[in-house]
Amino acid sequence: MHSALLEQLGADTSEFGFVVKCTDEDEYADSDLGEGQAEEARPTTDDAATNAGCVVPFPTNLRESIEVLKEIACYGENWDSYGSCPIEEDVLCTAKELLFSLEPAMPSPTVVPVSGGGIQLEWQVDGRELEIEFHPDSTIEFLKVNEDETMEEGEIPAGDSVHLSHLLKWLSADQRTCETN
Amino acid sequence: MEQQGEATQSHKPVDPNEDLYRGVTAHQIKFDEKLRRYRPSSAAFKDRRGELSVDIASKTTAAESLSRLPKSIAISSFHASVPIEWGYSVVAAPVFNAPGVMDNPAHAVITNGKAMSSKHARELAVNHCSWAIPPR
Repeated sequence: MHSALLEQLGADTSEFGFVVKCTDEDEYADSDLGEGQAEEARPTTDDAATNAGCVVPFPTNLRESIEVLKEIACYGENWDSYGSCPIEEDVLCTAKELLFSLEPAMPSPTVVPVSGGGIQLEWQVDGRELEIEFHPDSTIEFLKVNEDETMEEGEIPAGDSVHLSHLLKWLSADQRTCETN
Repeated sequence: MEQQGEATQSHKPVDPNEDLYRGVTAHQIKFDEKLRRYRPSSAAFKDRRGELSVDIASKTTAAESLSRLPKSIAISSFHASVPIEWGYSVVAAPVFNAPGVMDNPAHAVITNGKAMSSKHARELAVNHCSWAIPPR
């Protein structure tokens, strides 16, 4: 859905605060290297961090989220036709940091701009939903939706990574396994 | 808010029986796994400036609303009674002769002094809105 819509928008995604290289499995699987060699050739985050080009690989499952974040970073004034300001760099960076901190098993969130300069990340996992909204004033709001549609919302103090981590664990299958054991 | 511009009439409460239109941008549309259909994200009904701009359906058409919102690709619709029952005010805020803004006699705002809560915005997106003009 997003890909088609982005093409319609024709937005320029080239300007963002970091360079992204996908670690697509196919990129290496299709090379002339044998299976084991291809595995060895696949770059790791540490390898990439030392590259002069500052190439930061990310899991393939986050590709779409990152692409949308790049699109949102290019928004100008009135991007929503309702007079919104652009999304501030601090908001973009905070959202990017959360994306890059996700466990590989976590599904990719939907990245959504909010009028007034915010960004919201949304997940749906096994009937549970989580929304995390980053505000321009650095506050973070969350909404948890349980399988039975009961909801819990609240605010997370800036920098409280523990609370964020708990929310993500609640969403993940690992947490459910722990709860049932 | 830009669309409010130079509102030339005092804000009057909108009838709860009215339908309201809200434009939705491409990135504010998501596929809901539970509903098995595309719907607006709850983020489409939040505005951190404290007022959510909408159009009063009886004073315009969905096509006209979309034409005033070049960044939107779809128009969502919901009853004014929904936010009113949650404690928000829905007031007319027609726009006339505002610099750089198209006249909009149908413009209104949903407000209670701060942005719609995450819970209400999600409830609106999932259970109370439909597409007046769906995304293509």
